[in-house]
Amino acid sequence: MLLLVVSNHAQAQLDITISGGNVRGIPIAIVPFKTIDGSQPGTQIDQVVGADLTASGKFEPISSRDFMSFPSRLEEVRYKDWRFVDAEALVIGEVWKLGADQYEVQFRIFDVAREREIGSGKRIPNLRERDLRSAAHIISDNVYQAFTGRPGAFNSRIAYIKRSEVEFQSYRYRMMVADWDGYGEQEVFASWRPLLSPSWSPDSSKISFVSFSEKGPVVQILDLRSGKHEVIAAFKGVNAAPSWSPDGSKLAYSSSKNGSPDVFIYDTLTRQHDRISTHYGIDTEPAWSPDGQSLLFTSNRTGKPQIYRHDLASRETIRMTFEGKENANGSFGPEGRRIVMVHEGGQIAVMQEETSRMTWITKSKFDESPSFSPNGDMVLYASEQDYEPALMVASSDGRIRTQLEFVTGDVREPAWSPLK
Amino acid sequence: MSERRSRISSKNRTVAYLAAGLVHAAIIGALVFNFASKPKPIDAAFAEKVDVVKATTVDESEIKAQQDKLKREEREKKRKQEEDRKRLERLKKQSEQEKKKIEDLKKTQEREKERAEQLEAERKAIALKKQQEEAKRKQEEIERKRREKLAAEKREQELKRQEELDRIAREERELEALRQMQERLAAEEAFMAEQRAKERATTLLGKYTALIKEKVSRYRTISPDFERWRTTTMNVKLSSSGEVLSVNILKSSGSQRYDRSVETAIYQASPLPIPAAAEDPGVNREFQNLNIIFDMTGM
Repeated sequence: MLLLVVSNHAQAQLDITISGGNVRGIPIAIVPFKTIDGSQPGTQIDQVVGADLTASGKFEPISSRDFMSFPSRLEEVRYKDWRFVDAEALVIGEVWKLGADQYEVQFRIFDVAREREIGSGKRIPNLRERDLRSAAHIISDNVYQAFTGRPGAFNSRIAYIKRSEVEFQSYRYRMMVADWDGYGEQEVFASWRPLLSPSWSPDSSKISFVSFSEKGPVVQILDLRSGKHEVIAAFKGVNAAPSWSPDGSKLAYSSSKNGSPDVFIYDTLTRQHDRISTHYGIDTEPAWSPDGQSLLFTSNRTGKPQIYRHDLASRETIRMTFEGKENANGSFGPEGRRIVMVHEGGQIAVMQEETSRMTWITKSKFDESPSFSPNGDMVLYASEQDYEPALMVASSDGRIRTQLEFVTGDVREPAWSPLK
Repeated sequence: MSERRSRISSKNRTVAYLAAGLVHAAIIGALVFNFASKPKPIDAAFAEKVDVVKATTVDESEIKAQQDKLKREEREKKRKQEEDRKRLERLKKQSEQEKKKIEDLKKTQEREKERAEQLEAERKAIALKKQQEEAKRKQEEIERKRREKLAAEKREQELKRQEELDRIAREERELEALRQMQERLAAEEAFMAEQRAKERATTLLGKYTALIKEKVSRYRTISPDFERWRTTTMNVKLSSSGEVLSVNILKSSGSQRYDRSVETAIYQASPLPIPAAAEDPGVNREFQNLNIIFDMTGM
């Protein structure tokens, strides 16, 4: 009878439906890298990797205080130690000091769940001490790729405008470039007049931006390698908000040379300017779709600013945003399905293009200039922390927000670079 | 009409009875009278004869006178004799009549007697008959009683037999009921055993299914950007101790990351809590091959 019962049961496949789980990042153990032949360098690679992965929202590093062991080599890894702390992923490595300022970093990534190494260990050779952070970002990208199947954005950079009061009421505007986390900022351009709207070229070699001439705002292109800069739009009125096309051959911008601001496209090869929008309202802040087929722009043609999409082939313009009174400064995610924008003049929101569903990244009043990370998993924006301007990075679901603490001062207008 | 006739006939019957009564009374009265008056005439005749003998010694004038007297006397005598003869004859006749009457009476008496005898006989016969009938009745009564007794006995016996039969039948029924109850009990016992086995299997299934859910859920990392509508079905092969041997996607969610995350959760949760083979080999075996469906639609 028992056998019968069991065999009856055995006939039917046992199905278990699981709907529970934890909305969280992948629990990851990042073991402090062992320093071989030398003193501990200033950069703690495990901490940089941990910060990178945390900011993405896709990972949750486990505190090293809970670790049972501190392996740095393959043969030292005991999976049960990492199962014990519920790690899904494990990163170990060593920092070799090979010379006075010569380092090499080795690392291994493990899939604790499946109890196997992902890849077979990597070496990052020829490093100076100040390169160790970059090495850490490389490790982060590797981990990110290994567990999410998408490229990491930790070796991308950001540009922003920093205003410094050099003398009383005398400001120096500086365009800065830094690691994604704000580390290692460098001035790439400076002016005694305001600088606005940096926008990276797709190959990250150039930045277009707005500077002020005697006549007013003009659009410029800065070559980061040579430091050369060139004005491309200095028409009568306001020239503003440049945006690189995905193929890097064109720039969209807005100009009021015909009266009200309209969207124009500048072809870098032919040096031609084409007028795209002709509405009597303000049309500005153009942004390309990843396929280069259409432009988003902000227009107040219905009274308040809303985001529109202009199809370049059909020349049709449709309104994209209907939620709230004001939506502005929209730009696409890298996959072209999400639009990040400033909602109601100070909140950062992400809208699914197909469903128009909004996800709020922030609910404050002072947030502006949002841009997606090149992998689309994070959003960079300008905000305020304790009444001071600050740059923030949020996971694109809004769950994790990280202030870029290396960036200080009166900072605004951040823009995230593409991947190399 | 018939009523009237019957009333008339009953009146006639009354008259007839009265008449018969009078006749009888007359007859009986006559009989009594005759017997009382008869001896008187016989005494008178004897007294006359004695006077005749005494008168023979009387003269001739006297004789003639005597002879006349004798002749008168003779005639007287003759007339007397004639009278006597006639009277005698009458008497005789009367006597005969009386005799006849007596005879008649006798006859009547005899008849009466006969009748009485007959009546008596009849009465006796009736009595006898009655007696006989009584006897017969008694006999019959006895017989009846005997029969009744017999019948009662028979009935009693029958009753007893029936009771016995009933008892047997009842016992049989009870036995059958008992047998059925035992069968039912046995069936119930078997059913209960089956149920218990099933229940145990179900309990084990339920218990360990819940444990597996709990453990896998604990390890399951849901990225906030996962679309909630996605589901995926994984076939999971386990060792007898619950170690995850393999995870295969039966139905992909359409998202590699989603699929990977649930696969990871299953591997993370290894060993899955399953009933030991010692506890229930069947259920243990069952758990060694399961489909895990991941579904966030309810979250």
